[in-house]
Amino acid sequence: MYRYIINFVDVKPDSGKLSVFRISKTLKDFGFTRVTHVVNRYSQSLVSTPLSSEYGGLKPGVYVASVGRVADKDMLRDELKGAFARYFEVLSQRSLVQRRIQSFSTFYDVDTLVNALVDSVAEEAVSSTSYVAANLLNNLMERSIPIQYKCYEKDMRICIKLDVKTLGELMQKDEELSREPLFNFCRERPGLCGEGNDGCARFFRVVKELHIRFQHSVVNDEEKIYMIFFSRYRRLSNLELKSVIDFLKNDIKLPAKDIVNVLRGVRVNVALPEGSMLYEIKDVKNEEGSDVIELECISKEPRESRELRMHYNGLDVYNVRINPTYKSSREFIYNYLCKYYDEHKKLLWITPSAYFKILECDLKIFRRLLADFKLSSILLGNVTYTIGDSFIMV
Amino acid sequence: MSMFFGYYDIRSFPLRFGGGGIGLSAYEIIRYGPLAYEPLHGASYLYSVDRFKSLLILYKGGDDEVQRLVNEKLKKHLSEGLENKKIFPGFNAVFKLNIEMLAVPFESYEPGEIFSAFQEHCSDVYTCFPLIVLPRVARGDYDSIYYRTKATFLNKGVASQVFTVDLLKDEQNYKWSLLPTAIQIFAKMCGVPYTLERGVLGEKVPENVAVFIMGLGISYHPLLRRRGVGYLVVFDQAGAWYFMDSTALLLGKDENISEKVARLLTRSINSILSYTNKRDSVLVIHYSGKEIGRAEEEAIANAIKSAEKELNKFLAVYILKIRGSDIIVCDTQSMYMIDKAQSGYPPIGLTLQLKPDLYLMFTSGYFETQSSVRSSIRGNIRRGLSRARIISRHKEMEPARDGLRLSDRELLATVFGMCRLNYSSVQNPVAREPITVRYSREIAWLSLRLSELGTNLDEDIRIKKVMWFI
Repeated sequence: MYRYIINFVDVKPDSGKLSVFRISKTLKDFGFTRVTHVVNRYSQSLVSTPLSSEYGGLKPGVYVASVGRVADKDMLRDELKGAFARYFEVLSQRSLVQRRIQSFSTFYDVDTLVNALVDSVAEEAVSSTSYVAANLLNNLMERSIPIQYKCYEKDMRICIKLDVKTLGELMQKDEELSREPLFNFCRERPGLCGEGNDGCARFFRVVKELHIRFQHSVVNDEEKIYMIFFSRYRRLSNLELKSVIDFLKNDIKLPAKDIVNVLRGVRVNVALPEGSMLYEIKDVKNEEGSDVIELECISKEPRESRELRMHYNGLDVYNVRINPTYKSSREFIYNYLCKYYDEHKKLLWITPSAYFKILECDLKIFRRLLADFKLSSILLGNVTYTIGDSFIMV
Repeated sequence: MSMFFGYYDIRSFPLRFGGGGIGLSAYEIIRYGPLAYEPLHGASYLYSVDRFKSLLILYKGGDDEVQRLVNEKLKKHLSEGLENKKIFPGFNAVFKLNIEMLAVPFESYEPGEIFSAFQEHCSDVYTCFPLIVLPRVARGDYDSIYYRTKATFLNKGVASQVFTVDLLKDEQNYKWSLLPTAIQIFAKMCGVPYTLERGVLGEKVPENVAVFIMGLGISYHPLLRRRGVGYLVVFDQAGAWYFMDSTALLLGKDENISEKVARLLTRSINSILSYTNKRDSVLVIHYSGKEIGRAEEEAIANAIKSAEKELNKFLAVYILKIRGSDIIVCDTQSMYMIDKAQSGYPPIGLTLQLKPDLYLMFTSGYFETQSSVRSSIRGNIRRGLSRARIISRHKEMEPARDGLRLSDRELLATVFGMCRLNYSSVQNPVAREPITVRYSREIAWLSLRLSELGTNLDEDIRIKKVMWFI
């Protein structure tokens, strides 16, 4: 009867109800989103999710669940105090937001703030397959991934990156190894997988990414949580302009007069206090034995100051990196750094039948990773969630 | 429990051509001719194919090979057709017109010079159509000669068609590009090549009720990060074009973008209602969530809320958000074989339901042209993944009206139906995205360029009634 395999995996709770705290009060400067951020970022064993308006019978508020143990209101209070104290401490170290924080800190004493929040708390039992349960799982998983595995993808809450070496270590059988096309790719293009010292190896690295999201579903009035599981290949770039100039000088042995010609028109991102800006390289001059790079901003309005000059050593300070989105940058990369920098795209020029064979292996790897992260079973509040080992059929 | 919701079969969404001709493939235009020579809504001589006397093929002089290819291939084939008339019988033969084809060189790839060359050979620019031969550029390059030239022409009220030098030299793809190019030119001349055979909502909507399907979105400026554009396009329920409109936005804290989008929406609703004499009207908004952040998404939601008074003029308003996803399926019984192997691609139109208001629609995969005949299986994808479009109905944004109760199944048909109207790729019977959200980048980028050239998009300018963005 079922004929479609979909990249969804069952997530099964061992109990129908999940015990949560719901913070219903908002305070000046501390709306639902900010409280959620503080809890998820700075608490030790709490996870939270905001709900801005009533949804599926759930009232608005910040839903908080304990992780790995069952918590009571006193523990919640202690955890929140610790989290807000750490939050203020981190913020006070950031000079750019100092003024705002001073106003926070003087207005809010941590004890007063947390007591006000906890006073509004209701202890509730929500469905363990509800919308907020799915979001709590997302937030918990997101913060449980060790930093070295983390990647960032718009719209995808959880992203895990695996280089070819880690992938090889995680695969246990020949059958799994033979299904993974990245191994062949790396044999053909070793530079793109970190082998050697050519332009590809110096500036690029192709990795596998696993994208995960817990999705709430309601069909025929029955609520369920699925894990959407997707994998793809991505080329990571490390195109610091300083390293690129070094490479052109020392490895390609390009004469200084030619460096300006090959870099002119290349577009770079420059980290400025007001945010990252897109610039175009106009000139590279040698002044008193040091390279001076002249840039023109193209993400500012014409009436704004658009010119920027910086010495070679200043490139680090402004974290100047080539932006490979633009044609001029891509042509430069193709001609001088790595001819094969787009080859990874071909790895997914396959049919769904072939893709799901790879994805089945990826799911096994993901489950092994979860075991490494001590997440084989996810204990959220009083409920243990188990992630399935196969894709569902519809 | 199953998420399976149903299929939208392309056989239930045939196309209507000239002379009452009906067919599944856009190629049928060769047999039947175009549906109309002026817009089906708001027609006038100003917006009629009849006003065109010539098609000027503008190319860069001084390159012998390009000159030869333009004269011996492009101009010849547009005039006389290919040897195989089934692939392309010529522009005038397809559209039953008598338009003169001229090849005109220009000096350099400078938009101003290209327009001057056009103007020199055409005393009234509204009677000539420019087909401009340009080098191929990356679609993501805002500063490219492609966008700069298109904007320069558009700024003078002239829609144009670009044909790349690379395509001219490409033996394999060139011949297949001629009919789609001709169809796009005809649509930009304000003709109607084809529409859906009937309205996607069909008999669910009474005779005396007009249906408008609107695409609404916000896009960022690709370079100047504080600038953006709000835009909308409007079609009837058979996919016939009404108009587009847009407004320049200043993103960030300097401007209330909700207010500006609400003004855009309000003035468009007033225009929409002026198009119909029917007693009541229904509005379906396809709102594109791609490329934008949460602030802009909220701005759209707030704009819809602010325009409630105007929206209350409709019998009913429905709001669907359409976006991409990383959700894929493998059809274990797929009838679509590639290199003699089971591909796993799903049937086009497969729709799953995740929640009462949340659906997944697959628009890439395979389709049947005849019933139950294995040899008639065709696909619109041969490699890569067929990712679902996520379609969510936002009832909380819909003004509370209970004049006409359309089901989600019917509303999803508006999305699928608008995917059928793909004037730029004749071979593909179903585009990945509906026409209501598909051209967001072209509309946004060219609107931004127009405002940079001094055109005030808030005014009632001529190009709003021309489908220049396809």
